[in-house]
Amino acid sequence: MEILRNLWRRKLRNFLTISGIAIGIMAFSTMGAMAEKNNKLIDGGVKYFSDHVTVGDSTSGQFGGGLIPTDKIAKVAAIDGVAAAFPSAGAPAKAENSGFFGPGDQIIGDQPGSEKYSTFKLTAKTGRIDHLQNGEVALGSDIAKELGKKVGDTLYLPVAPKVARADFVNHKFTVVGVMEKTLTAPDSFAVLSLHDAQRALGDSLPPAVRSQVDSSKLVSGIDVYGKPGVNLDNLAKKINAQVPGVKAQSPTELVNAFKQFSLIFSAITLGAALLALIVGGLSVVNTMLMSVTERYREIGLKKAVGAKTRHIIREFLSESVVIGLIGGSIGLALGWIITTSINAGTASQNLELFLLTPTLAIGALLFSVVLGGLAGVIPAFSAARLDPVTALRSQ
Amino acid sequence: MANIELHDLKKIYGKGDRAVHAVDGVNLSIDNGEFISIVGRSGSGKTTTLDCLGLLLRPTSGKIIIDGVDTSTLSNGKRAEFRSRKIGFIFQGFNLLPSLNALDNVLLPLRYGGGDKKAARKRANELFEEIGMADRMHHRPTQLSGGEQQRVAIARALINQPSLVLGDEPTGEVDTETSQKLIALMRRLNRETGVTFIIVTHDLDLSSRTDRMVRLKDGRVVSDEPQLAKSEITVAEDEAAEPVAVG
Repeated sequence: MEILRNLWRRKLRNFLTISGIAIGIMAFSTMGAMAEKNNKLIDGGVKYFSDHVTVGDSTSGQFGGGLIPTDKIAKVAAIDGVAAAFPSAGAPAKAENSGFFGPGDQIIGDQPGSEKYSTFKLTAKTGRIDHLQNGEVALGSDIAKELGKKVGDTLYLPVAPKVARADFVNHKFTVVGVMEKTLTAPDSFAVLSLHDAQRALGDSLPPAVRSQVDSSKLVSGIDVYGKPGVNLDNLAKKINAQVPGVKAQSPTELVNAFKQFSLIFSAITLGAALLALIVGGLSVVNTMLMSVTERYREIGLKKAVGAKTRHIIREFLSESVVIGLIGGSIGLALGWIITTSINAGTASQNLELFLLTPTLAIGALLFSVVLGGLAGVIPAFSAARLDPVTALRSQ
Repeated sequence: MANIELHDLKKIYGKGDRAVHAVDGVNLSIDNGEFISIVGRSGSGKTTTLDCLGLLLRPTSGKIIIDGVDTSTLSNGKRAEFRSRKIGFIFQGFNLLPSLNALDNVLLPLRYGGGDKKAARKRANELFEEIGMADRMHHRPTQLSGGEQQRVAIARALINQPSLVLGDEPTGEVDTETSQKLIALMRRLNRETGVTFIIVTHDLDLSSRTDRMVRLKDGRVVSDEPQLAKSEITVAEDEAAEPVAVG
């Protein structure tokens, strides 16, 4: 109580100091929540990509893309060490896709039988999500929420833009299942039968090309699972050597690329937040040093009535810890409000930027307390070292 | 029996040609329950002597023995403990903590010195009765007059039932009437509790109403006179002045 009264005695200064910490912790929790969300997505990606070799066409980038004729599937499957090869077909689920954070809403072709090999398991929350027939769609939790669809509803895919071009094509589907939330890419997936996904892939091509190709003979990639004990990186090399016109991506390289991105992202976001916190911490040091100077007589008096060095250190440290705790609590509350508001605001675009986990919240609060404590060390020791006579006689 | 003895007390600031002998061989023997004033001009060494007596300042040489304990051998921690148990302070500027109310200010020494909190609380209530401020113990220092603040400081000095109360110009920042009443209060508490009071002062009225006046000059005792007759008169005045109501 005395600590709060002491803080209240210098309202403006302490308000400014607490604001400094609050802004720092707000930045820390907000940026941290963004990094957490990103890491969750990355983890999903790592899990998804690390159990198989992703094959795209020879011009495709790191994460696949491009078009592959279906006859390549059998060639890849015939390579020694391959357990199974599944065609993958994908296209944007919305003509106006944000794609700002993560892949955005995607149409994905069903791969019946791949669940026997894949370690990345999807489960149905309602209805069913496998063995999809033509005209059926299983939705990820986010896209289902975003489009307001449940089992039994009808849905046109890809979702038409507000102003559709004359050549825009979409088709009617019935929702047969909604998946459990995974907090990663599949939450934004609309899974169709392979045939329907291939058609969507064809429809996504420019009109001039679209009329020249048979979409049932095209896929956007091949997911290759190795036999037990087969090194997937070596398998990727073998595919590249033996099947012309495709590019097999080593899972290790893919996962490393994910992890590197995650690391850089975390470093940038948390680095910015730490900078804000250091500024907040320095303002606590400044406030506490001023407080010590102003309270010379008080310190002298306390020493005169029997306070030992440890008592004075404890009192000043407690004060700076309380400043940290109050600033941290306010900052965390602001961070929670900001992340929740932005998530709510972007939910309509199926975009969730932040994930403020309990671990992060507790971490941010603990950090603010530790920061307050550390910032109080120098002022507390300088107070404790004061000579009682000098302190008592000071003006 | 003497409960405080100063043996050849010296305090020197600086070294060589620049050395200042603030206290230069003071010898004093003070009995239990005495009410003593130390007077002298500025720079005579009276405040330095008081700071040494209060264990706030380490003397350069000499001994201070309080209740049979040679305080020069005590560590800083032990000196702090000794202060909290044996010595009460009354300062010129009242020195109450603004964040605490009057009662908590009085109980402050308990925070550092330990002791029975329940008994201390009871004693605090009694002290507030004694100083005539039972109805103002929950007021903040800013809500009290200068005289009231100094009365709270006197109660704080006595809360731990010390052997010795040291006053540094305790009437220095109050008007004459309030000063009179504070002197009467200290005298009465001295008589009732038997605690030794040593007061450093410029206030001739205060010094004339002590049992004994020690005069310092250039860090040395130049006179040490009992003032029994005056003290007797003061007691009569004190009794006439009760009950205390210091504004």
